[in-house]
Amino acid sequence: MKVKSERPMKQFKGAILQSISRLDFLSSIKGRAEWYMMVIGMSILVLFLGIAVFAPYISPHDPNAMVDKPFLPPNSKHIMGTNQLGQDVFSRFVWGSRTSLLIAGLSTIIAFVIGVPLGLLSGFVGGKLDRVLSMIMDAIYAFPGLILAIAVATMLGPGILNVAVSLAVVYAPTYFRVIRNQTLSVREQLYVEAAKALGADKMTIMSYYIFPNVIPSVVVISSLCIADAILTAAGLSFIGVGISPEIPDWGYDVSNGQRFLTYRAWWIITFPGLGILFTVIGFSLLGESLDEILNPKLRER
Amino acid sequence: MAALRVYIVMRVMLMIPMVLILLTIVFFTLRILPGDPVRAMYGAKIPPEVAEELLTEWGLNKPWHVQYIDYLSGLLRGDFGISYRTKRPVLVEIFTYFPATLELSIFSMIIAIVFGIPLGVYAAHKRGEPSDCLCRILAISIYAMPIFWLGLMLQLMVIILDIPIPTGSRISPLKEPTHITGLYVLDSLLTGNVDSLVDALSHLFLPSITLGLVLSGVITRMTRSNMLDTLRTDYVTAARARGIAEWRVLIKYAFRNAILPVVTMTGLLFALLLAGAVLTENTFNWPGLGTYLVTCIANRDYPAIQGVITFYALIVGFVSLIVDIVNALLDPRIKY
Repeated sequence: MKVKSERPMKQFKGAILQSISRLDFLSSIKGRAEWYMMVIGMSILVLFLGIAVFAPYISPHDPNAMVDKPFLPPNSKHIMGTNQLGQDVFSRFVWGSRTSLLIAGLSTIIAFVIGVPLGLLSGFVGGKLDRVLSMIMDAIYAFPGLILAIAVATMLGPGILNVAVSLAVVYAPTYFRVIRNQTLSVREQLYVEAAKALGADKMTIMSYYIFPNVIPSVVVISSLCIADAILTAAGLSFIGVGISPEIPDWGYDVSNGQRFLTYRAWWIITFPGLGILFTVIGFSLLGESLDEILNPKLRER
Repeated sequence: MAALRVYIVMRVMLMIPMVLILLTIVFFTLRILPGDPVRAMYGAKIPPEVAEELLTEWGLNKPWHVQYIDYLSGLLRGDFGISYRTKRPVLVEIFTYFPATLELSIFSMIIAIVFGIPLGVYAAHKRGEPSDCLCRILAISIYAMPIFWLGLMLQLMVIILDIPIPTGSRISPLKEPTHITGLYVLDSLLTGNVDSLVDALSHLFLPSITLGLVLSGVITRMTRSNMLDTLRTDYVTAARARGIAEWRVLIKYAFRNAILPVVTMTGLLFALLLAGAVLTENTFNWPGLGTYLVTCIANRDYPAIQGVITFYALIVGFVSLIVDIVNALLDPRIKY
């Protein structure tokens, strides 16, 4: 006998909803430090997401056009001044948020798609496959992320998708490790055994019984990984192996502005840097607070 | 002690597959990924004859398994390839730049430990209080700072406030100490050259503060969470019950056990240090391995890029070995 729902999609949706409903206890932490951390993190992220989505309406000028004299300090016409090419720094800041979030989101999706299924498979099947996959993933994990990303990005050449792929290579092992370890503990649970006893095949067990139960830990990891990915992406742009110069990007703008430090043109590098700083703080605060909330060992403290 | 020796031998043996995997990852990343490195470096518009010539010159038109064997056997012979730009062996180039990276790393690590550990202990001590929150927000913010941006902001501060601290390079012209180890601070100490020592330290100041601060954020977080774990153990409660002063409980009882996992995490921290050094070096024009790597990328020097990335892979393997052995020495509970 095979146990498989007649409407697998519906069951799948149910599992996802169920794992989301575990966030119920959010109300119970209201007023604690973690709650404030989460609120602040969320607010920062919503703000930057808003800027990114409505970039065409917010930015007063074309980010790539020369709109005024170069090296104008912040003034009433250009609130963040102009850079060495006479481009409006504020417009570049606004459009830069789009690039940054786009790369972070894309790389997370790719890393998720690589890391999660492999982690599930490795943890569930075990044996030789698990050993080989774990060894490879551990080796990638041990490699300094930025340097690996530099190597991959150099070989792939510039472009948003290419940068996202090189970041995904760096962060996929993190997803893999978390999912694998969670799978190892979940597969020993009674309900998995019950499903096995009922004759459910491996695919069914993995996707309907294990996957929904390991997915909450991914929420924390992805939030912390995105924070790190934004920093790494900025590092790639700074070094010059990131995206092409015609796309406004915070990391590239900082790298560009460093030549004009001696002219005391502080506004060219300060604002894009603050953009990176605050987005990363937003994701870190969100990730840290979720970690404290979802991790029962820490909740006792 | 014999058991420890066996453990070390075992660990060295285990390092071989790890390094092999690391090298294989490097190999596949640099060769197979886009199809062919020459076009990745120079774009698709390169004339086919020129591309062919370069492929032959770099040994890239052989079947990939032959390339793989060439690559590994070359490494065994200490052959990291010949730089296309300078025509010198890549390994020789690496060794001229590596001491600078090492010096920067050592000083940054010292700063990170000096800032990070006390802050973490303090935050754990004040758990839940406003000062704990402040420490944690500080740690998160420092970690969230793009390292190159922090470096540039410090440079900006120095420039605007007219503080006479160098913002670039490793040493002033003509002040280099006699070459012994390549570490300028150590060399000038060994030769008793006070002038060079002061100059080298002043050049080290900003870069090592930049890298050290960023690392200290991580150390603070690790120390805090480990301290919280040990502060909950029974022996700490017992010590407190006996009326031992709180600072003594913190330092003599909890801290010693809390610091062990931090040593384990050093491997990860080291990866962060290497990656951070690449950015810091490029920000401060520090002539280290990271600056060399970026110069190679800018000049499309494929053999040198491959050599440097390979070198990083070897360092990573070596450090994980050292960390494990140090751990075994420190913690007698580790089975070997």
